[in-house]
Amino acid sequence: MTALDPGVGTAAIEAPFTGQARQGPLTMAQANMLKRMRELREAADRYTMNLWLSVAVPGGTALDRVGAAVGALMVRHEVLRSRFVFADGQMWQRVLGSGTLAIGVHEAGAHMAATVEGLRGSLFDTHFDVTGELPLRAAVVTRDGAPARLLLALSHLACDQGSLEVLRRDLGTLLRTGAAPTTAHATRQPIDQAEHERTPAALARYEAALDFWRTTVTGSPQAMFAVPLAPPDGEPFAHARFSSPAVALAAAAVAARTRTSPVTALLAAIAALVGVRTGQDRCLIAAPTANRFLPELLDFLGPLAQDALLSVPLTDETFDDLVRRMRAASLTGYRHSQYDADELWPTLDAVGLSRGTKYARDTVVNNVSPPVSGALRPCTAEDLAGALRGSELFWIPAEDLPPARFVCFVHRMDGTAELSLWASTRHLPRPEIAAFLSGLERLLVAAALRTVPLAELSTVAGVSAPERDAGWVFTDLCWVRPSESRRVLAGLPSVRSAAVFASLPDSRLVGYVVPADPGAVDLVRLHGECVAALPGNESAMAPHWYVLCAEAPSDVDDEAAWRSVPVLAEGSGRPAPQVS
Amino acid sequence: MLSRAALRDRIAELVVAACDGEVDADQVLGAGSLVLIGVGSLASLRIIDAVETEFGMPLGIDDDPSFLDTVDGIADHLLGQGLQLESA
Repeated sequence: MTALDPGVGTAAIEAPFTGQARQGPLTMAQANMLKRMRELREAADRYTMNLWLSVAVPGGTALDRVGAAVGALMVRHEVLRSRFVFADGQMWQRVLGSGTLAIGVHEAGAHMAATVEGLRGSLFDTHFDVTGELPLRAAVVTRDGAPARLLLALSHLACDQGSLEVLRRDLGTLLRTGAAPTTAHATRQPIDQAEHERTPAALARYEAALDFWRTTVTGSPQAMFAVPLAPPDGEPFAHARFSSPAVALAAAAVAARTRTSPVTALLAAIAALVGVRTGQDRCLIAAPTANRFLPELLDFLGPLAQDALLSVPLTDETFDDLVRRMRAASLTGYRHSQYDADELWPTLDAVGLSRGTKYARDTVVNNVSPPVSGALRPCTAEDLAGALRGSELFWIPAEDLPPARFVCFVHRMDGTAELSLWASTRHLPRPEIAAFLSGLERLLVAAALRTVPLAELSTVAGVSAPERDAGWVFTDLCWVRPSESRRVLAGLPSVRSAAVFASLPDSRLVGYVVPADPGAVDLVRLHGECVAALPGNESAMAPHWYVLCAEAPSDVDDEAAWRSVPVLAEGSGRPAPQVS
Repeated sequence: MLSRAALRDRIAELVVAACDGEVDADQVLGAGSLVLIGVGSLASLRIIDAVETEFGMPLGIDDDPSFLDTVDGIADHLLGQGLQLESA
């Protein structure tokens, strides 16, 4: 599709705005987003991270009114008329008091879709220069001279997915009535949020969130999908969409019995089956959350979304117990989903260095479903039998979403459940993706009618545990292959030869290493290099103990032979605990 | 300090506010289950926040948040956490 110049339309209009000028710091999420945007741009220029909104203009709306609506939007949301500047050693957001945004007008004639796509290319696929340009670009598409669509591209510094819904609502009302909608609660502007984030109460909350993440990641597997890999089949990812009235009906019935919610029942089912499929007795889920539950953030415009971490043991007696436990895990996880990511990742890296692991964030459940309306109630077998006839699964194009291995989107749970499951096909081949989704349905349908013992999960859902051979060991809550740990270790430039063995009784890993330079032996550095090389290989873990040897034995696969060679040094390689 | 009745009334007000008025205080006070009258997860998060702010103590939901399902459950939990009632 040829990109169109949004500023060279058949005409142009202006969106004037006038408001209060002010300057303040960035929010934590904006600062993190700015860093992420720069990192991604360095990795590949095509990743703009921009957001896109296309809004239908009501028939009969004059062009001037469209411009006025965009101007009013910029008055209402300070971030849309802000520039981001570096001064006095930090980034600031500078809200402009007045100005205009130029909006190109493009006649589509009979080619509406092509015109919109062309404009998307020019508005959306170009990086924002947020220091010199406003974080918003707009164009109007006309049909026979009448405004038909208003297109907006937004910098991720000014917007996230939750913000888009706010913008869609505000614009809809502005275009229809000329006035912005009234809201029940006062809304924070980003500068207000940044100031709030610096209050003692907020700082204490973020610190508690870091503690929660540290504790939870320490007590969980580094990855769920440390499983035997299926052979590559030329299709690295697959993405299925599943529509099921039965899942919605059954999840509501389970929720009514357990006093939870349909989404909680679904999350519990997902956790249970991920546990079965991966042979784990604890499930760790990253659940992106909008972080908009507080009234003052409902209509906030700016990035707020972050991961919540949901960790549940799968050792309860019944599925109902697991659903109740998932409610506790969800509430706790969502209450700890606001934090400074700049502090979170070093915190998790410290956990990884201590354990010799890497938090993989490989299992993601993104619930974007609107709240379920109406009362929760039980259902009958007849209700479910009828609903099951409406189930439908189809395949959609799979994007590239690593490092995740399993990403489930919950699009809708009201009336009909709409789910999609994206997975790495080496970790969950296409037939197993389909089996997983139908397994969720089978489990929830069974659980709607009776209390399902967790011991029956595999039978009820038709999802099987992985078949791991003797090359796998379970240590420190993680399934790993010592041979993969050896591959990681042997691949380090500072290592000439290596072998890793699991010791009894707890399968702790012992790494025997012949350094490339025997004169430069540093166990802490070696361990750090090993942990740094783990990402992308969830079946490897750094050894718990290193033995540096002067030479390799003739049979490098013989642990006894390694024990007989001269030792240069040995130790855990973990940094000594800091004493305050 | 509050009486038990006043504590229940105040909790009910916080629940109603957390639900943006979609339920009323009588419904909340009479409900055998807040979930079953439509108090969802987002509202539950708001209730936790509002109750903690109002009474100045953490609710401790990590193990079993089922107390959140009734006004009496929340009141009993607060009393268990050390909230004092006025003596009769």
